[in-house]
Amino acid sequence: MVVITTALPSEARPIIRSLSLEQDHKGSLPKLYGNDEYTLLITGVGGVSVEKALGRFFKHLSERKRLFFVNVGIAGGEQKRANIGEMYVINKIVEAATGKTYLPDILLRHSLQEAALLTVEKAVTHPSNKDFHLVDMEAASVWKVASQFLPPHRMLFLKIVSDYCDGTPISAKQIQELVQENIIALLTLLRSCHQECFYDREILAPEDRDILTECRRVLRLTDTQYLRLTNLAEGYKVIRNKDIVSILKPYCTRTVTHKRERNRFFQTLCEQLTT
Amino acid sequence: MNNLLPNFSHVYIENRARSFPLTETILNRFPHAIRVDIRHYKELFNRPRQDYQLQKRCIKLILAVKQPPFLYPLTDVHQSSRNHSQYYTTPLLNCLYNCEYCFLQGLYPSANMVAFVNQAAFFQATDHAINKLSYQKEPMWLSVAYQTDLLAFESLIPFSQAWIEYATTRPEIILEIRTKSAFLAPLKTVSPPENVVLAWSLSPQEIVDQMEHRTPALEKRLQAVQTALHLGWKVRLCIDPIITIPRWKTVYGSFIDSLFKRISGEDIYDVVLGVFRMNREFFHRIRKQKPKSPLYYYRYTEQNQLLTLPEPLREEVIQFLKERLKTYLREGEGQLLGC
Repeated sequence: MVVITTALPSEARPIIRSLSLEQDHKGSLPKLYGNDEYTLLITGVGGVSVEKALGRFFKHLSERKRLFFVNVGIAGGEQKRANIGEMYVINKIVEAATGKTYLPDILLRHSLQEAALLTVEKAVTHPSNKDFHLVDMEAASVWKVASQFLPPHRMLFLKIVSDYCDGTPISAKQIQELVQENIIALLTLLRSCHQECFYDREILAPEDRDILTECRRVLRLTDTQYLRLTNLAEGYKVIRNKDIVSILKPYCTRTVTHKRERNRFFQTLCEQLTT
Repeated sequence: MNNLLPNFSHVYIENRARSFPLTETILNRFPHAIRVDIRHYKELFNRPRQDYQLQKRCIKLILAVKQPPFLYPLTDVHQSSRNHSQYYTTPLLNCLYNCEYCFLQGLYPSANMVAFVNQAAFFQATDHAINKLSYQKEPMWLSVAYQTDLLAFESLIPFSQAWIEYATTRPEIILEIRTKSAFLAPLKTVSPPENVVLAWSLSPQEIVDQMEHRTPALEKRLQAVQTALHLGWKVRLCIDPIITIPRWKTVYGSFIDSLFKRISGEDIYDVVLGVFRMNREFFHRIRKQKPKSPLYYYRYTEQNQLLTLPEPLREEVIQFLKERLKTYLREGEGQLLGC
């Protein structure tokens, strides 16, 4: 699942349209859209809104292992180095308030320019810090919340330059147009986020996990025994490249009434997996 | 689908590394790399929850300034020499190659490579350590490629050359450069100093194919060994780690026989033997990332925080290889090291 966050509805609209996302009326988050592959969350503007919305989002999320996080939004640009309308991959985020630096892993092949981003608390005109190409109000907060749940290689920050921080007002329609102009590049990157290599390596297949859980239930295994069994099952699969279901299945029909009996079954099972 | 960036698409530069001449030299080698300024290399290198194997597929380079200590005492795991003073230093962290048995996967949180640009400080620290040697009569053994393969990286950063030049001025040290590389260009332009040992890690081609990813083939390494010997370099052979794959006796037996058909035992400085062993903590850190290598699913015994082969097997492996090697090496001269 690729989770996209934007601060504004106008940033989200072209993405919702292009990915044919449906609004999720069931959940507790009002501005959540999705389909089988993508979820889009509109967080609101500024760090506080982001932290609140993302905090709630992650709280209600059961599956975090296969999640890739993409923050998309507009940003102010440094006039000499940034072009209005251009989308940038962010390789460094600095939080202005604390000076803390956050560095996403830039592993995805892309054809965009990269830039360093300064996240400020309030909208600024003519920022004094000239080390940064771009300025926004959310990225650092997105990182702070998302990095509690995700590794740095599953976070991507994309910013489209909307102005040169000179106080020029930008309408919702203009923002929508800026995102729309970059939609092909954006969708290409979003599709790349599904690459298997980004996600945790799993040795056991879902059916292996199921049978291990069933074994644990039937044999009344302790947590330690279950952990040991899982480790042995992984080793069996890697070393022998054979399925474990046929070994574990007969044990799922046993009845265990005593600790001693459980331990005996467990011992036999371990021996089978290590022989 | 593999839609990842190539190696060294990015160079991260510590602010204080900017002023070092080596930084400029290195940056010139990567003209197309995107440069990102950072305050300290650990901001990037030590982030939590990095995926070592994923990063191995698109390694980034970090240029940094090393802070003391510059030298670390070598442990028995390394088995480098019989000298009393044995140290290693780390001009470069991590390696271009990706060997399945490598402890670096468990030692470092990141597969990105860190090059320390303050070379002079390394040499000064070594000078200082030489002056403080407790065994003055004996040279200090210094391994410069313990946590990396310097020679493999030589075409990008000429670290080996600098260390070899330094060694020529300090006869009080014996410099060991351990490698799997077949890149010999920097060694052809200098006359071999007496106190530099080039140590080639060699494995049967079966092991190279199965576990030593991205390394030169055994044949290429053997050619490099022959060339180095021909040029007059001292060469050590490291058969370490010995991996007990099925039919290991046949595989390693014929490997040693074919090795010494090409290279005379007389010409070799020494041979280091060692079975697979790893710090317990590193091993479990690697195991947690669910590697595909069977090495991390076998049963080992623990000795002094090290996981290694169970005793009867370990002894059998070492004895077998020692016996086989004896026929090729100089008798009674202690050319065999390790266990």
